[in-house]
Amino acid sequence: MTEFITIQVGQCGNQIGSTFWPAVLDEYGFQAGKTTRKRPTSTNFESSFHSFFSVPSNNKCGDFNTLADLVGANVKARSILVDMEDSVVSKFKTGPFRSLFDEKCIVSNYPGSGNNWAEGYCYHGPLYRERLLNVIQKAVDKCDSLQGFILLFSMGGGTGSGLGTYILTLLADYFPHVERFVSCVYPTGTEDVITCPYNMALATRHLIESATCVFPIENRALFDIVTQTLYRQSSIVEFRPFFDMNNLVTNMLLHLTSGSRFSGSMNVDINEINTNMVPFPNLHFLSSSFSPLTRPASKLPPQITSQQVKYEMFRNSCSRSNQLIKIDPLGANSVLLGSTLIGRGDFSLSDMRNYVDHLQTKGRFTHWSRKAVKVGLCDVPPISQTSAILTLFNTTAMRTLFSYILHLYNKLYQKKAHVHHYTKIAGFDVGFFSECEDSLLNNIGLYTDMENARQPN
Amino acid sequence: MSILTLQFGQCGNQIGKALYEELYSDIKTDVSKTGVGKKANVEYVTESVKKWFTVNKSGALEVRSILIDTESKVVANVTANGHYKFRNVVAKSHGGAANNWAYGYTTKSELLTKDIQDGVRKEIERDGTVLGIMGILGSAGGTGSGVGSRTLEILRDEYPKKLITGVVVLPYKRGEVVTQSYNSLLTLAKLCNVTDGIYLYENDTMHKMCSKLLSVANVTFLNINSLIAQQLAATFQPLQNTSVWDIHKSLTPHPIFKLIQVKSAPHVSKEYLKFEAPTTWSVLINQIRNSIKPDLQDYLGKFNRRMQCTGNALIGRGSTPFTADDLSQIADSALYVGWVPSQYCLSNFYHIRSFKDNKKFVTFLTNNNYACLSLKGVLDDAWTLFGSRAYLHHYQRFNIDEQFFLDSFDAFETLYESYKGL
Ligand SMILES: Nc1nc2c(ncn2[C@@H]2O[C@H](COP(=O)(O)OP(=O)(O)OP(=O)(O)O)[C@@H](O)[C@H]2O)c(=O)[nH]1
Ligand SMILES: Nc1nc2c(ncn2[C@@H]2O[C@H](COP(=O)(O)OP(=O)(O)OP(=O)(O)O)[C@@H](O)[C@H]2O)c(=O)[nH]1
Ligand SMILES: [Mg+2]
Ligand SMILES: [Mg+2]
Repeated sequence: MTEFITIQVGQCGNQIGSTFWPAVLDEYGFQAGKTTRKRPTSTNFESSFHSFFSVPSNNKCGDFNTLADLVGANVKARSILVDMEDSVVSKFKTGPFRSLFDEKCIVSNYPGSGNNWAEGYCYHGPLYRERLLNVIQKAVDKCDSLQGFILLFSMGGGTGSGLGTYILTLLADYFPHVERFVSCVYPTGTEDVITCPYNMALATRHLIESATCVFPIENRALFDIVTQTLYRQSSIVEFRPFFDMNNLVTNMLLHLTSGSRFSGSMNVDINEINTNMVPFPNLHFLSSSFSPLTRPASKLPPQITSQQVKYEMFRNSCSRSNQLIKIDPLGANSVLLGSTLIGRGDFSLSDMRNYVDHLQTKGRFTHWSRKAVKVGLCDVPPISQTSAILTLFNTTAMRTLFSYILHLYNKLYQKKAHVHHYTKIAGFDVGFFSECEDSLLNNIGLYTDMENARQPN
Repeated sequence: MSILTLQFGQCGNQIGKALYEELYSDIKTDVSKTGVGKKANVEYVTESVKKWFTVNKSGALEVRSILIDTESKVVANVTANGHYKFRNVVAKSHGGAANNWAYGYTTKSELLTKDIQDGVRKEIERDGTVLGIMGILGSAGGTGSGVGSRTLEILRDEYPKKLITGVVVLPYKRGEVVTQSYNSLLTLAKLCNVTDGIYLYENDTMHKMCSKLLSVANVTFLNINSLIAQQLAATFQPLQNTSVWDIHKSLTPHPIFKLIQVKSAPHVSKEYLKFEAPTTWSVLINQIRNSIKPDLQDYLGKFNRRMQCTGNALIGRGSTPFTADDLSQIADSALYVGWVPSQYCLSNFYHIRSFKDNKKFVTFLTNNNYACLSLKGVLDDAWTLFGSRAYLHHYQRFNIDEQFFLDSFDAFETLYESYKGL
C-alpha cells in the first residue's frame, strides 16, 4: 500500500496539519472523545490506513475501535512536525491526538525565524540539518512503499518558507526518487508581514527548482470561498474562518491522495499527476479545486447523486470561484496545458467522458494540449458524501501569481528595504535576490511562450 | 492445447477478471440450454477447464493466469472471488508506473520480470500442453504498456515457438491519459515486433457498442469488459479439431500484418432478448458485415479506401454448421487482397455446443486495412506532442531518449503505411 510522509513546517503548516489529521482519522471512523467507531464497509478501505499511519506489524486497522486503541497499539501518524515557538506544535503535544505523533518527529525547540526566509533557510536549516535528516530517515524506514512527501507551509513567514524550502532541497538530494508534493499558502490579501514579498519570492525559486508538483494556495482565494460560498449555505451557522480555510486545504489533500489510497475502476496513483500535468520542466504549479465545498462530515442526504447534481459539481469545480488560487482556468487569460478530473463516489465513466468533451469545448489550449486531460475514478467518496470531484489545472494563468509576487517584491527591493536583515545572515548570498527574480521571470516567460502558442478556437 | 494469460496493469487485470467470469459462466451453463446432450457437454466443459484452469488437490479450479501490476489494490479486487483461485500474483514494485511507458519498461519491469518468468516457467512445466501465451493490457498507462512490452519481449526470447499474442486496449481518442499517444505508440511498435498477433480493442468503439447496441445509459468498465470478455471467450473456447494455432495462421498470412479486430453477434439488450425470434447464421453474419465498416464519420476525409482483408475467420457456436450460402456474404473476393490465395481468405470454425445460453453465437476475426485508422489516431497525437517535445523529460528520466522515440515512430509508421497501402 502506498505511503505518504507529511512534513508540516511553521505556524501555518502546523495549523493546516491540525485540521488535516482529525479529518484523516474521521475518514476511518475515529473521532476524538468517541468510544465507538463508524466502520467503513469495504476491507480494502481499511488497508489504506497505512498510507498515513504506521501500524505495528501484528496489528491492522480493523483491530481498532477508538482513538485510545490506536494509541495503545502504538500507531503513529507518518508526519514530521517542524516549528519554532512551541505555540502550534504544542497543540499536537497536548491535544487528543498527541500520542499519534512521535516525539522524535517533532523538531521544535529552537527560536523563531522572525519572518525572515534567510533565518529559516540559511541559519536554522544547516543548524538542524542532521537532526532533520535523522527524523526523516526514521520516518522513511517505517515505510514499505513510500510514494511521496507532502510538505505543508506558508510562504510568507520565515520558518515555513525558509526552513520548508530548505527541507525540500534536502529531500531532493537525499531521496531523489521519492516525489515531493508541496501545498503552500501564499498569504495574499493577508500580507501582515512586511518582508512577506521577499520570503515568497525567495522560497518560490526553490519550489521551482526542487518540487515535483506544487499546489499553491492563496489566502484571498480561501477567504472568498469561505465567505462567499460556504457561509451562504444554510447548514452552516457558526463561522470559523481560519478553521474553514485550512479545511479547504485539508479536503484538497484528501481528494488528491484518494486514488493512491482507495480503489477505483480508473485509479489515479499520485505519481501519475506529475507525468500527466507537467509537460515541461519547471511548469509544475497546479491550480486545484473541488466540489462540493462543505465542512468535513457535514451531513448530506445519503442518496445517489443525480446526473444534474454531478454535472453542477463538475462545472463548479472548473469555475474560478472554486479554485484555491485566484485564477480562472476557463477565462480569457488561461491557456490550459493539462487538466485532471477525478470523480469520487457516484461518478461514472460516461459522466467523465461527457465532462472531457465539455472541457475541450470551453477551455483554450495550445496546439498540442487539447487532449491533455487525465481522468480518474475513485470508488470511495469523502466521508458523509455520496460524490465529489477534484480538478487540477496546469494553466498559463499561473503566470499572474508569479507576476503578483514579483510586483510586491520589486516594490520593496527597489527601495532596498529590509535587505540588510537578509544579507546579515551568514550563508545568505546577496545574489540570492537576483537569482530568485530571474527564476520567477524565467517561469513567467515560459508561460508567456505557451500562451503565444495558443491554438485559435 | 491450453492458454496461459498474463494480465498486466489495471486494464489487463480488470479484463482478465471479466474473461474468467465469462468462461466460468459458459462452463456452468445449464446443460438444457447448451443444445447438446449431457455427455457432449461434459466433454466440452472438460476441454474448456483444461484450456484455462487447473484443478487443485482439493478439487477447486485455479486460473492459469499471472496477475501483474505495480500496485496491489487492483489485483486485490480481482482475486476476491468465490469460484476459482488466482494462484499467481506478481505485484510488488512500490507504486504504479505513473502512466509512463519508460518507467514500466526500463525500471518497474526490473523488479517484476524475474518473478513473472518463474511463474510462466512453472505454469508451463505444470502443464505440458500450454500452447499460447496471451498478454492482456491497456496501452495508455505505464504498467500494462511498459511492463507488458518488456515481459512479452523477454518471453519471446525464452519461448520462440509458443504462440504469443497481445490483447491491447487503445484509449479514448479524445483523451484520458495525457501521455496515452506516446505510451500506445511505444507499446504497439514493440509488440508488433515480439508477438505473433495483436487483438486490438478501442475503448471508444466498445463504449459506443454498450450505449448503442446494448442501450446502457451509464457505461462503466464492467460493461465494456464483459463485452470484450465475451468476444475473447467465444473465440478461444474449444472448437472441433481446431487449435489456437489454426485460427491464428488463417489470420496472419504475412508477418507484418498482425492486427486483428474482433466482431461478434448477436448483441442485444436484455429487454429485447425476450422478444428475439430464433435467429439464423445468415442474419448474424449480415449484422457482422454491417458492423465491420468503421464509423467513418470519425475519419471522414481521412480515408476513403474500400475494405481490404488479408485474412478473416468466422467462428460459430450453435446447433448447425455454417452453409456455403451463409459464408458467401463475407467471402466475396473483392473484400480480400489479391496476394492471398482465395482458399485462405475466409476460414471458418465451428462447435455445436452453444456459447452460454446463446442458441447461436458468432465471432468474426478480421485482419484488414481499416486498422490503419486506429494507428493513424495514435500516430498523429504522438507527433503533435513530440513536435513540441512535450512530456519527453519524463521518459528521459527513465532512459528513453529522443532517438528511441524516433526509432519507434519509424517502426510504427512502417506498420501504418503497410496497412494503409493494402
Ligand atoms: N491559510 C492560513 N494561513 C496562515 C495560517 N497561519 C498563518 N498563515 C499565514 O501565513 C503567514 C505567516 O506565516 P507563518 O506560518 O505564521 O510563519 P512561520 O512559517 O511560522 O514563520 P515565522 O513565524 O517567521 O517563524 C501569515 O501571513 C498568515 O496570513 C493558517 O493557519 N492558515
Ligand atoms: N476497457 C477497459 N479499459 C481500461 C480498464 N481499466 C483501464 N482501462 C484503460 O487503460 C488505460 C489506462 O491504463 P491502466 O491499465 O489503468 O494503467 P496501468 O497499466 O495500470 O499503468 P499505470 O497505472 O500507469 O502503472 C486507459 O486507456 C483506460 O481507459 C478496464 O477495466 N477496461
Ligand atoms: Mg509564525
Ligand atoms: Mg495502474
